[in-house]
Amino acid sequence: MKNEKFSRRDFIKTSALASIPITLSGFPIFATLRSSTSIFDGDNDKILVLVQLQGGNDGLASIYHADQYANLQAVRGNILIPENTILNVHNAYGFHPSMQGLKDVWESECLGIIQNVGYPNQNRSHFRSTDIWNSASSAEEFDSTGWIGRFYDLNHSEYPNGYPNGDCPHPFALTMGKIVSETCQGVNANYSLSLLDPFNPGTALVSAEGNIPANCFGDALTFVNDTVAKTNAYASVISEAANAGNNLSAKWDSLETNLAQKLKHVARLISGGLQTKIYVVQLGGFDTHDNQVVDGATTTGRHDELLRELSDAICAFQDDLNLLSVSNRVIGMTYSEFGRRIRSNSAFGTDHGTAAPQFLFGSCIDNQIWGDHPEIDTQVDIEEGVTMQFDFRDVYGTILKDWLGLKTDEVKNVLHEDVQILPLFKPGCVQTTSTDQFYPQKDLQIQLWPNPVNSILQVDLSNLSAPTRIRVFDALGALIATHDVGNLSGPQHILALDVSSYPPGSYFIHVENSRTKKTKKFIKV
Amino acid sequence: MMFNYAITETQIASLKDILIPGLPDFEWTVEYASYLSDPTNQPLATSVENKLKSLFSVMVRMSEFQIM
Repeated sequence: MKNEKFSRRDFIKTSALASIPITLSGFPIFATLRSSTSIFDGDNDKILVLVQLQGGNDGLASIYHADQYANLQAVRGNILIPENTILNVHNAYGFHPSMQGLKDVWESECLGIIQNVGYPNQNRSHFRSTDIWNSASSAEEFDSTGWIGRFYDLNHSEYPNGYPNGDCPHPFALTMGKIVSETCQGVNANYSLSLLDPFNPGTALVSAEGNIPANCFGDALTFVNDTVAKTNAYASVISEAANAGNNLSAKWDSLETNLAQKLKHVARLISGGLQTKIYVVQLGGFDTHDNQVVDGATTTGRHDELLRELSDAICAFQDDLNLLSVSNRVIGMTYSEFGRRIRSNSAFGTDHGTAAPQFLFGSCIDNQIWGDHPEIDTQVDIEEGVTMQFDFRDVYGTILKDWLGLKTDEVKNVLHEDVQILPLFKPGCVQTTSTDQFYPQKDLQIQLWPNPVNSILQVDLSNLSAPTRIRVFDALGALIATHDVGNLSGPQHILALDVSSYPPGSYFIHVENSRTKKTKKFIKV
Repeated sequence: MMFNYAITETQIASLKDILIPGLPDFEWTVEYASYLSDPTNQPLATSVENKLKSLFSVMVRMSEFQIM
């Protein structure tokens, strides 16, 4: 495999051009000053922290609803936690007992939850579905850029040529870890740098960390490592911010997890004045096919540890932001490539599924649980996941528009034409005055009959007051049919849907317009 | 193969985290097998290819690789 093509000269060349600039990027240290407008119109100083849960988080084991507990017992009894251990959060909603930290964030009114987030035609490959979430493409398209990368490409498409400069002296995005996040991939380069240690930003990727042999190989290795450290053009602004910044929360003291360490660094860099707008942190291990819980002690096990790490770290981070008086500038969002299936498997785990909840945190996030808790059918198919209610690109679009300050046409440019803006922020916290916002009709019920159905399904749409899109998904989340219907105000409107050609099984009607997103299950016999 | 001296376990773990980020080892086999069974599926092929490109791109930029 030793290949002569990879010479030192190529190394230097790829360092400058590679799509993964990482910390040892070959950016020019003395960049020419470029006249360019500051990031975007106005002085948007908002910051977004992305928390990627790698592997596919089991939403049904994270958030509980009292009405569904008995049904969960029927379909995933071997991994289900005892009902009396569920942390009561809001009305009938509860959290896994390891999520006391997120319950605290909820009680400080800094947590929003969006249930059942996914996309049509769910792909159950980790790689592919992660690409879809990172690029914000549809399941049918492939986009080599990330959604944050396209956000920056709007105004900085020449990057990395000419950066950093007097107008943009700070890194656009930081991935706290060893490799940059694909969310930040732009046309020319990845807008994020990977950062392991903010006090020593030049640390080489995958470096030997002290295991340097005392011989001429070791000497040469040290030389290369040192050179790498010095070639990071952004190193000084990062270490200056780390030194100027602070951490004030006492909650960090008891936390030694990786995620806590990363978020602690993020809080410190923000308080130290770093103008980086996007931070990405990752937590791996959610691919819990087996031993998600310990047999006979279901509140313990790998998923318990992961939820605790996530929850405690976010709680400490939010507390720190409050104490550092920067909390009104920062929000965070979790995402994962898919949820797990509704039925557990016999290995005390769960397999790749469909939609899952997203957590949003920050003092500007409206303290709400959006969407419906999944209704669990005790006869559910082994392959079935939670059906999507919200498209993740609507969540991204809302953040781009209301938080990061893009105009609606720019949001559509970055995402897609049909993106809808959701009311995720506290009123008055952001400058949103948009009239195209989504106002949910919370109590709307979609009536279907007959159910089970053999040939013609009647869907009562008479309570809907705007042009509506009806989509039918199968149990795996694949899009089967789309019907656009006009404005339904006025007399009763019933859509007759011919399902006679559908194979027998479970299906979902997804009803969506500017005022509602609802999912209803039906059975074809 | 790409390094004159054996790299450390920590470095191997870091490289795995580039090939299969946050996933158990067997998922590489699963993902690669799904590509082999459907090689004309362009998005899936690109996903797999990008993981390999990232891995090699990082390996050839490791200090150890420069000292051959």
